[in-house]
Amino acid sequence: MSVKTSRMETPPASVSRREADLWNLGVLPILVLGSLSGLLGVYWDISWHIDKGRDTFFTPPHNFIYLAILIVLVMSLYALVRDRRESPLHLTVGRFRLHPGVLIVSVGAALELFFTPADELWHRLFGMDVTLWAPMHLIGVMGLSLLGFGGLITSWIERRLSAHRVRQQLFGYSSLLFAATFLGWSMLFLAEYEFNIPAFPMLWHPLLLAGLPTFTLVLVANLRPVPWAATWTAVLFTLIRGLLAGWLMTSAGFDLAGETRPLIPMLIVSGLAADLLVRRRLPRWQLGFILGVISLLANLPLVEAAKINWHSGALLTGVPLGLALSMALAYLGAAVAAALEPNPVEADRPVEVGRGVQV
Amino acid sequence: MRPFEKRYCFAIGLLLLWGAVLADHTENGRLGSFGTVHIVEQGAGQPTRIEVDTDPAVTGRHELHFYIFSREVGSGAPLRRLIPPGEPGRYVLEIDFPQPGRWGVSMRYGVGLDLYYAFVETVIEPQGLGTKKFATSFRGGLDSGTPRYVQSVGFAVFGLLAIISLVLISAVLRHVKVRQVGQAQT
Repeated sequence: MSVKTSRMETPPASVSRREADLWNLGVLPILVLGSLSGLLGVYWDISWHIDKGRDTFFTPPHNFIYLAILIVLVMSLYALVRDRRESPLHLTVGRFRLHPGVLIVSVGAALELFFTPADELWHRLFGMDVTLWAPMHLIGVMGLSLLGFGGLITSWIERRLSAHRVRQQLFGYSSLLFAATFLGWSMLFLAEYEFNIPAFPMLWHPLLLAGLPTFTLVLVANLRPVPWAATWTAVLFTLIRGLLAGWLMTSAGFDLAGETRPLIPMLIVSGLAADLLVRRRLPRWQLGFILGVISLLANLPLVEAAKINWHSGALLTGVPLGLALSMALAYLGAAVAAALEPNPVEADRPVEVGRGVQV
Repeated sequence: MRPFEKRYCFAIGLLLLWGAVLADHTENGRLGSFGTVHIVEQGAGQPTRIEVDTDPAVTGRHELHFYIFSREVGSGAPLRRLIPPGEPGRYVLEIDFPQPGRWGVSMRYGVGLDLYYAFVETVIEPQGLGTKKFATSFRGGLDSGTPRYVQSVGFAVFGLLAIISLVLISAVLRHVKVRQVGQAQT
C-alpha cells in the first residue's frame, strides 16, 4: 500500500468550512456516545457476572457493549468514506483522503472485527472464562479503548483544521470529553481490582494504577485544549464513573445488577499535578515519577477503605514497576502531544483545508 | 441366563457404573491441592480466624481469594478478601462475620483462566466459641481437556495485535507530525 500526503488547495468560496467537519457529519458526537455506551456496558456486565452469575447473549449490559462495537465499526467506515477534505494532515491512499484520527478509530474497529468471532470461538472451545483479562476480552477492550484515543486525536485535528474560533472551542471541549473517556478505558483494565475480584496477582493493581493514568494526563496537559485540561479530564472521568456507579445502584433496585460496586480511582490530584508540572517543563522521567507517586498516594486511603489488600509482596514488586511504567508513559504521552502539536506557537493558526466533505 | 451369571453381571455393571462416575468426576474438574480449613470462631461481630493449609502446598506464592457470603435471605453484601501465603501453602484470614447464621466460604487461587476453587459452609453462632475443621479440595475451573498453554497462546495473540496496532498508530502520528512541521515552516 503506498501512502502519500495530499497537496494543499485553496478552499472554494462556496464551501463553508463550518459545515465541512466531522462534528457536523455526526461522527464525533456518535463516537462519544459509543465510548460511553461501551464503558457503561462493561462495568455493568462485570457487576452482573459477579452477583447474578452467567448470562445469555442479549443481556442489557451486553447490548450496550454491542452498541459500542457497532458504532466503532459503522462510524469509522462512514467517516473514511464521507470525509473528502484535502488537508496536509489527511493521508491519501488511492482515491481516499483518510483522516488520521479516524484511521486510529479504524484500527480499533479492525480489532473488534477480530474480537467478536474470536471471543465466541474461545468460549466454545475452552468454556466460560470469568476474567476481564482473558486474552480475547483484552483484544476487545483494546479495540474500544482506541475509540476514545482515536476520538481525541480526531477532535484535536479537527481543531487544527478549523478556522473559526467558536468551532475551535467546540473541538477543544470534545477533545477533553474523549480524553476523559479514554482515561476511563485505560482505568477499565483495573476493574477486577476495583471490584476486589482479581484473577491475577495483586502486584498489578499498584503497578497499573501508578502507570496508566499518566499517559492521558500528560498528553492532554501538553495539548491544553482548554486551560487546566488534565484537571478537567480527571474531573470528567470522576463524573462519568460516578454516573456509572449511580446507574449500577439504580439497576440493582430493579434486580438488573448485583450488590458489588467498583472503587472509583481518585485521579483529580494527579490531573492537577500534571497541569502544574507540565507548565514547569520538568524532564519527562521526573514528571512520570511524580505523577506515579501521586496516583498511588491519592488512592491509598480508598484502597484501604475498600479492603483491597496491597500486601508487602505486591507493593515491593508493583510500586517500582509502576513508577517505571509511569515514567515510560509520561515520555510517550509527551511524544504523542509533540506529534500533534510540534509548534505550540502555531496552535491557534488553522491548517489550510481544500475541498469539502462529500454530502 | 443363570442366577449366578445375573449376579456377576449385576456386580460388573455396578463396577462399571462406579468407574464411569469416577472417570466423569475426575474429568469434570481438574484437581488442584487438597485444603484443610480451620475456622476459629469468636461469635458474630468478633474477629474470626480462617486458616487454610493446602496439600500439596500451593506453589508460586499464589494469593488465595476469599468470597464469603451469608446464605440467609435478605443478608447484606458479601465480603471479599485476598490473602498472600504466610508460609508456603498456608493462608490465614481474620474477618468479622457481621451476623450469625449460615455462611459460605468460597476460596480460589490461580491466574487468569487457570483458577482452582474450593468451598465450605459454616454456621456462625451468636456466642460461638471453638474451632471447626473442614476438608475440601480445589478443583480447576477450565473445561476438561483444555490444555493450560491456551492462556499463554491467547496472550501471545493479544500481544501481537497490540504491537501491530501500536506500529500503525505510530505511523499515523509520525505522518501528522511531519506534515505539521512542514506546514509551520512554509
